[in-house]
Amino acid sequence: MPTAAQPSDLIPAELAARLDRLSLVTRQRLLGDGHGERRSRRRGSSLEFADYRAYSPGDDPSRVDWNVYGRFRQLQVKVFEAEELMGVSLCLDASASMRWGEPDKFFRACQIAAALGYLALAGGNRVRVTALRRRGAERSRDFWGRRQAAELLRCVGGLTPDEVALERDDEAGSLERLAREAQRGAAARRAQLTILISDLLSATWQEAIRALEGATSELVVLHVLDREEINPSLGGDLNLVDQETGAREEVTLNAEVISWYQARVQSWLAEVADFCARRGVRYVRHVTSSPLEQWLFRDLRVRGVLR
Amino acid sequence: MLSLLAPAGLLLGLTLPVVILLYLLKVRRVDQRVSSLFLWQSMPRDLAAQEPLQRLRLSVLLVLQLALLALATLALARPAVVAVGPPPVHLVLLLDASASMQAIDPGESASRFERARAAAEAAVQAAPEGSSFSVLEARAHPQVLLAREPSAARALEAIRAARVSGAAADMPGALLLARSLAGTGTSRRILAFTDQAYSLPPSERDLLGTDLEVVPVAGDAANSAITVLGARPRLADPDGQDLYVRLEHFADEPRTVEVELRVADQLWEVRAVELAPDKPAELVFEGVPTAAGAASVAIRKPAVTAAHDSLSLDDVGYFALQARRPTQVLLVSNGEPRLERALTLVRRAEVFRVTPRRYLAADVDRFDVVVFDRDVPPLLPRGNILILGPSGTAPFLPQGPDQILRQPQTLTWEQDDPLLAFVDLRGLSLRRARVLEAPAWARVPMRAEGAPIMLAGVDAVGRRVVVLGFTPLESNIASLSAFPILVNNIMDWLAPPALVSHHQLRTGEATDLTPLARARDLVVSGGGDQAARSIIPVPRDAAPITFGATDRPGVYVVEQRAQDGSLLPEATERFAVNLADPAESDLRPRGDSVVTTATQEVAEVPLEREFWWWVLGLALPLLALEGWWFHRR
Repeated sequence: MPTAAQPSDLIPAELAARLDRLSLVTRQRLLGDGHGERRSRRRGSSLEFADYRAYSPGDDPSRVDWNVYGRFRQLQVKVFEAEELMGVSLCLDASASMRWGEPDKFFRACQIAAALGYLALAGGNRVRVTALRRRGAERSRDFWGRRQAAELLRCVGGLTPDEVALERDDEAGSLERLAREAQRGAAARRAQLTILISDLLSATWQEAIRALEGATSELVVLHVLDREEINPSLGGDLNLVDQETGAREEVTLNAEVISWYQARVQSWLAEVADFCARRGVRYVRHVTSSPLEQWLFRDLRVRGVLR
Repeated sequence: MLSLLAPAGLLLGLTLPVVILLYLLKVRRVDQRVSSLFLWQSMPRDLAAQEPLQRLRLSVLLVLQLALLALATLALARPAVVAVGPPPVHLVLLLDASASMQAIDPGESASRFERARAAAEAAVQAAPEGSSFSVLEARAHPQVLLAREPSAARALEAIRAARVSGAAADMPGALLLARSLAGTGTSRRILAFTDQAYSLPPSERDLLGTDLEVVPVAGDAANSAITVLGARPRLADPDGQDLYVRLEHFADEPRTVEVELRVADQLWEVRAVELAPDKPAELVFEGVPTAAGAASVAIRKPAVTAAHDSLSLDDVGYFALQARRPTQVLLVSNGEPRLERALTLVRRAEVFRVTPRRYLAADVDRFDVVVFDRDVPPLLPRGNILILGPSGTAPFLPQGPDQILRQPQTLTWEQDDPLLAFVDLRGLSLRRARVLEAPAWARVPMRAEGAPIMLAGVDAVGRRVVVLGFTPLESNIASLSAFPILVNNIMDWLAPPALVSHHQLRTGEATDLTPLARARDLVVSGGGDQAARSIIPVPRDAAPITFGATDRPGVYVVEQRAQDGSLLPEATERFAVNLADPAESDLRPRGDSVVTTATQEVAEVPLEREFWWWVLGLALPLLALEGWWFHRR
């Protein structure tokens, strides 16, 4: 039974310091409902100074106008013409299949969600976390501003994956159904950027992506897998038991079967990547055995999710 | 016709359905949790099943395993082909390898032994299928070359490896060995390939029994031989020896031969000798110099032709002319004339004297006996020692201050001790004598007041030691007639024995070789083959070594090598080996030892020739194929 992670477990202080130098990237101009740090079409195409506003905790100190402070002893923040507030929805697959691997796939997913949520808040965006569970989608409240980063981390750290299923239960936790629920919530809150963090180990992964894609301006799929799922080291006569549904499969894992499975995994991964690419969905894979920091700062930047 | 010798073995075939059942049963699988079965679900279904039994699918493994089991079942039932033929036997082949088998009979180009080997090979090749073979050599010490070997090829190899010897054979021993090797079964056959040039005492003829078949390889052979040789020192000339030779003529016709004597390989004398059938002729060669070392007599070659002499081995006789080396004695003394004089009177002794101060500078290991007069060094020499009147910290004295007996009144001695033989000590008067401490290896031939005053024995390193608790100066012993006798007895016992115990041997006989204590090893060479050398390490205690490799007639040289590998030149001796056996030289077959071969009509019997090993041989590659196939899956 995994326990909730501490915020410091999710994002160590050194990682948080490095994250401050990054920001989320969107491919298109977004519609927002408040002030933020992203430019809006509604305000024109140029990035021009518009006004001052009073500083509030969580604002980027670099935007403080120190000349004004020197003259009036008041902290004033520059407001530019095209800044918009962006809604970021972090959809976290909390199904039982995520409670697997070394390190635990769900823990790694939480780390990713925390890091991206922190980045979003640091950029002045609104963030919501949705855990996709067998019993339904579980949504958090909205977090806004850097000062709510600690609350966001506590929220993410408090999430646990579903328990292991003991009975065969194929459809109850269908990823597609959960995604639709999440999509309804996202649509209601007008999320512009949705980030799905999942192992996609479900027969309805395509429907799930389609559902989320339709409800958001931009979708990012972060595919979390364990190395053992890609190159299993199992062998012999086994009764494979599905962690999520309790279903069983008798196999004799010899070299031939292992080769078949590896080919199947590679074919599936290629299929997922191709599916996302065709829909303009950014897709990045993460194997839990690889270092998180390297993946965040290299792979996500290479794939245009961060800059 | 095919038959099964163990039909019960077919019961193994009942396991065939079990193999099939194992293929019908599903394997027991271990539960293994995975994150999801999503990716496993489109796997080929041939390994998955829901029922305890699955449909039997014909696989290569199943076919191979069934074939293997079927072959094992067949092999276990011992399949055999029934054929008609002579029954297999255990053939014991006894090859007479005595010296007489070297003879070449008139009209033959091969020796008797070569013909015997050919006959034995023919017997092996004619043996019924399935027979087993034993091969023995009858020689001075009978040898088993092969025992109950089912392979005819191995039997032929053993026969070809057999070698004739230069000595008489222990035929009774060989026959006894052959009979015990043959066992008691009815299918045994003992074939003796021999020239029958031996005589068996009546008591030993029973050994042969009736199941021995003699295959004679003898012909009508005449032979003149040197049958007795002897050498003795001349009384008048200590440097010369008289040689005695006896010649015998084993033939029906008389003949005249020339006999030559060679001394140190130089022709010395030639004599013509008339030889009559079965009448020995005797020759004596006088005054042959001992310093020559060796001599030989030979029936001269021109007279020896194949028609008159079938065996050349006994045409030459050898002598080792050995003078006994004088015993080298070192006296370590500051001067004791009476002792020195007594030592010089000892027969064959060369006495040298050195003062105790110069003792360490002397090469003491060169001497056979070292005599210490009172002063005894801490490190004793390798050779035998005599100590008179030891004092201070010398060995063989009790710990602590010297225990001195002054003018002891009672004196007892062992008259039976060889050191005191013919020694009358009744007039002995001791002024003083030291009490000795007798080690476990020492005997006490003489006591005074009950305490040991004389010790003798062989110590732990094989050195002979005699200790006297008094000196001539401390007693009146030098004035007694017993004194030179006592010294002579002691020196006789201390003098090392001759290196070679017997200098004239017959082939096959052994001699004792007694090395010097300082020798590292012995090198024995000669015997007609100059290249043949035996190197024998000397035991730590220099105990006598029995040397029996005297199969070849000739003069053998025994050399001793020191620890540094150098030869000890004064320690070389020779001995001569001769056939000198009239029984071997008489090549005419003797009727008393002939056992008539009973030709038996052997009825053909049905023979079952098993071929289960062929079946198993077929199964082995199948087994390998099955293993390979299983692991490649």
